[in-house]
Amino acid sequence: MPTTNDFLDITLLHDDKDEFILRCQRIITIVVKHFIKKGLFLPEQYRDITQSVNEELIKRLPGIRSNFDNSVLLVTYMNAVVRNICLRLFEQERMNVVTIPLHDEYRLTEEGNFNSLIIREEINRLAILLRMYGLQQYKLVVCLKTYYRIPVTMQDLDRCFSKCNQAERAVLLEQCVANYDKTPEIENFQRLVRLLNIQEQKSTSADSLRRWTNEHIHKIIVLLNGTPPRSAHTKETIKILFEQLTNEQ
Amino acid sequence: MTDQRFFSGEHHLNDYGVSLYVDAVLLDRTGELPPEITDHVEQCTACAAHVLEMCEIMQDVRLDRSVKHPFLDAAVKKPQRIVTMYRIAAVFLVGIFGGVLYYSLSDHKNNIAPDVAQHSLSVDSTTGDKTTTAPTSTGDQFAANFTPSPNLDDLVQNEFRSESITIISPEIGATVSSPITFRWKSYDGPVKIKILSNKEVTLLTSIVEANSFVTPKPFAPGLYYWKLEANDELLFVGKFFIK
Repeated sequence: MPTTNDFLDITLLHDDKDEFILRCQRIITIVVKHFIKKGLFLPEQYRDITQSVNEELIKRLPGIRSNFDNSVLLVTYMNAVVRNICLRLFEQERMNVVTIPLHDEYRLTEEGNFNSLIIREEINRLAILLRMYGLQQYKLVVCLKTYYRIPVTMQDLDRCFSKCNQAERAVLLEQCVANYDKTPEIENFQRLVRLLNIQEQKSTSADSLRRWTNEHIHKIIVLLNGTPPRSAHTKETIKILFEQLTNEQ
Repeated sequence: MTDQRFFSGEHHLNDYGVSLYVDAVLLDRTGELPPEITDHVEQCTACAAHVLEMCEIMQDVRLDRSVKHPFLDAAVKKPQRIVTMYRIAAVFLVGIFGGVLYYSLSDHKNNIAPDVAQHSLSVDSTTGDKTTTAPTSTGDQFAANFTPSPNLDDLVQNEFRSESITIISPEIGATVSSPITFRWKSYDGPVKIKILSNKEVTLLTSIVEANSFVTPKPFAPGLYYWKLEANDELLFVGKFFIK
């Protein structure tokens, strides 16, 4: 459901409570469906959960009205509020856990389609995660490609090594493309670190850059798996997702 | 200065902090976030997971990039305001300098009264020593720079990892002068050194390959804390005074 950030504004929050709650329905739908997809709620709970979120939101509205300091987009803040309410409802639900047998209607009939949807979703999550790194994402992309021996492109190098001259970048690209598979991993990082040290004006070693990359792969795995874990990513699955993501870009 | 609006009492991002990060990711403006927020998300898996989940949810809400962001666009304007203030200050200073120059050239320099508003000079009748006393407000400010941070004090002298690091200098609570040399041993690999004020504001962050680090800039008198981190883990927290 594509929407824009102008459907919720602070004037409505203060002047028209009913209209504000009405417009929040879009957010509530998105958040509740997100948690259903994650398995926190059952699909048939959708209406009940939506109702409970609305009740809680009406209760919290005076507090939101007096506390919202207009330092962030109201639509994002309301997403955070609705997410908190959903998590609280989930905690309450968990107190009265009821196990239900797996009926035929829940059985997956077309597993192939379902799997490709999951993969699509995980690629999207990885893409968001890389964007969270901000300016560091270009460095991370080049390092991940080096680690996984995925050929880097001139665009990757242009983004990552803006302070290095074009000739240096071209040499690195040639080296990377020509011998990526044959050279030991540390040598690939050695080539990379030479330009990275010019870019960052540091004196990092190839080994510490490899360690840095490893740490971030570990962090990506932990974040994509979630707490408590709902996925079982490994370095290999990250490679597959990352390869897929870079092919699409 | 850390913007406490974005942090909870438990030193995690609150809903405002997470929302701000999410706005920045979705608007491709993470480079404009305050460093204390990006540093925190880099190190705190819980907050990074929170931001990731919010970004996932917000994927279905298309943000209008033409709408000005209440924080990110305000932050962009700030430096312009500062530049204007600097300009006014510069004109003011040039005026003062011109005035002083005029007086000195006109043989009036001996008539200029000492600046008694800034500092008062007193003589101890028993020892004859001269002592300079700062005005009360400055004195309070000065004392505030030495007030310990309860949160950081709790971390000082804690052992954080099995493969602990050995600190050579400065010793915990030592009084040092700029430039400060930090030395440690028994740790292989790069470490991140952070120097924080007593108000928990990160003043300096650097990745160090060697077992020592010398501060590149002088620090004002006060109480400071320093941290060593590696692989997203805290290795050591110490404190020192500059007088």
